[in-house]
Amino acid sequence: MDKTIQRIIEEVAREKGIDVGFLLRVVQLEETKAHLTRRHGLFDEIREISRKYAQREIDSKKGLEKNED
Amino acid sequence: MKIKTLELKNFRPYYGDIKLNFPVEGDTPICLIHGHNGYGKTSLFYALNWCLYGHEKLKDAFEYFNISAREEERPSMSVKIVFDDNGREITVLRRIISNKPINSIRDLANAELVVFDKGRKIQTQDDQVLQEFVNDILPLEASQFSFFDGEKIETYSSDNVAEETQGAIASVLGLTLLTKAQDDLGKLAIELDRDRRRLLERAQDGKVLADEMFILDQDIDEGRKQKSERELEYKKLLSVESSLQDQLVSQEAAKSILSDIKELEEKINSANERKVELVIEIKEASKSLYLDILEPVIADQVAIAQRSRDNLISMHIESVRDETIQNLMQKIEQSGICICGRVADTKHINFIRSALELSDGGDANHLNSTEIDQIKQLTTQLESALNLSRGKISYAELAAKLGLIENELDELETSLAAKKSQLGGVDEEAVSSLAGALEKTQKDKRKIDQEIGSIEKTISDNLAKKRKLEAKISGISGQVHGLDLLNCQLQLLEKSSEAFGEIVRRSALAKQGEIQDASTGFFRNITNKAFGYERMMINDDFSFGVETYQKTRPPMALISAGEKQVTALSFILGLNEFTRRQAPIFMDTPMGRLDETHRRNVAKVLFDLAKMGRQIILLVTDTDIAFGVYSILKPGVGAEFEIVHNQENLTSKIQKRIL
Repeated sequence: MDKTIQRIIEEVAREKGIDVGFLLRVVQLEETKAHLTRRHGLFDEIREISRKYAQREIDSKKGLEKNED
Repeated sequence: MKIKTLELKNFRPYYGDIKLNFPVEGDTPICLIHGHNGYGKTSLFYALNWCLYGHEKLKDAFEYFNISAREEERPSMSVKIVFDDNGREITVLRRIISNKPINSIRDLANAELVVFDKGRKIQTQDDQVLQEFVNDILPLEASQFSFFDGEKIETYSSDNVAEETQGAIASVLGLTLLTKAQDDLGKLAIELDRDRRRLLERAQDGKVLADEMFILDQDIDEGRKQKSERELEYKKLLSVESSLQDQLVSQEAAKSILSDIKELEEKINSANERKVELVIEIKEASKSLYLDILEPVIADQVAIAQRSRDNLISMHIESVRDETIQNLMQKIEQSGICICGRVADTKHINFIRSALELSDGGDANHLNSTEIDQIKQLTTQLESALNLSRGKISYAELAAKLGLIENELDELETSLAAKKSQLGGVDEEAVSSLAGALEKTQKDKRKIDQEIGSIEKTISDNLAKKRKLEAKISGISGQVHGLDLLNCQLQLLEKSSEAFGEIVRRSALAKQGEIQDASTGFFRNITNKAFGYERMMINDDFSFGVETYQKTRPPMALISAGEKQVTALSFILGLNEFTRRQAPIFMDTPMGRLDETHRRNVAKVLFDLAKMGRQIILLVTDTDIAFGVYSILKPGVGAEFEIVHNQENLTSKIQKRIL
């Protein structure tokens, strides 16, 4: 991906408080499933990675809470 | 990268096998494929796209299958392209082989994709891997700016191209993936929301919260829908407003032109009046018998004396006194009429000679008093005729004056014609109605803007309520396993979907300037107003425009359809420069509504691209290559083919033309 676009992705992710890794992973998935006949299973995979990133966020919050305790 | 060969079998009108070998080496990479309308040029364009990217709907593949071939026992259709990528040979073959005649879409077998890289077949059971390989050679998004037809040029020539332009920039930059990501995350968020509702119902008070959330989400969705409808209306009004403003500008300009025209017409009338007066004067002058006789004498003297015309009279008197007496007398004798209007008999001629001698101080003693009186009378007549001639001699001045007036009239009439052509049939009276329409549009726009504001406030209130509800849901999430995670997941998806929208917008904006510069390069070479237009613009709202050297931007409403095609073609060629792979340019009937000059300029641009090694394949009709286009391309043409159509069985073949 073009460097400018990469920079914009990072910029927007930071502004919206999203893990840039998640956005890049979604882009990567879209790229491999880009062709019309190849989109089967795309939603399951995004659902799975969003679950992982959400879990990571929850764990990180819990970790912070523990540290605060 | 170049296309080495294109092979078709039973594709659209091409029944049987067709093979085209394109030039890939040397300095003649242009290929012309000639064909009349309806002979199968566009089918070649479809064949390329089908081979590389397949079909979206089975119906398309069915229609591609040649009708006669469908009835065969084992019908097959295929398209094979061999690419030469700097010496690396890549073959892409897509085919459909059925084991029974194809009577309907249901009889169609699956299409098979076969790819060879450097002569070795890529072995895989997964068609996706092969498609990915092909996409890597030439991405689908980019190919539309390498393989394109007149329809694509028309699309970008229309008045409201902003959305298409942004989409095109996004697709060439690979941003389509990001747009898809935005949509997919949004759709997935809706699915997860349903899951969350099911989970919520298991918790105490969860059902109430879920119902509240459901209603709130519906309200938010409805609000967003209304907002987007209103925004669409607003956008339409914006475009109407811009068009009205453009028209008004042109009408205002027309008003000023009309006033100039009026002024010019008045000047022309006045000059014409002066001209009529002069012509009368000149006619009078030329009617004078004296002038008729004297003028050739004067002309002789002009040649002899080489003096200015202002001194003609004095010069003439001088001449009369010396050598031109004979000359004058000879003229009178020849014409048989004297300067006083009498018949010039011998007696009368003698009188004149004596009078002239007398006026010259000569001896007239041999004359009696009556004769002297007559001579004196005649001398007076002659002097008065000479005095009259002094005025009449200004004939030359009059003629010079007439010349000046005629020049002035010429200039005025040229200016008038130029002004009238600028006017372009604009109706002055329409200005006031246009202003009224503009005012109404602006009023409607303000009203919709207020409505959008009010809808936004409702959405924002509902979102605030939703956040509170989310907090309540989080509070009970401990009661149901997985609810907490689902909440977090949902938020991530919603935020990310929004983020992708923003990324696409910012990225397209970031690249817009570079694409504008690339497009301007082509635009300046194609436009016939290169001395007027400095560059073409891709505005912040992604609409097109042109800028003059005086930094003015004429409204697009004043730009002709042909010029709009020039901006569209320049944009497509400019975008093409941004594609990852330098793919061949494959254009189907590219000249559209362009005039002769533009057609030749396009040909020069294509020839220049060919000189730089770019492969150019043009599907052309006779008119596409008329007006000198063919001779411009000719030095770069390495192959020419002709599509031959059989009217009886509606099939086509392609023959190579001998160069």
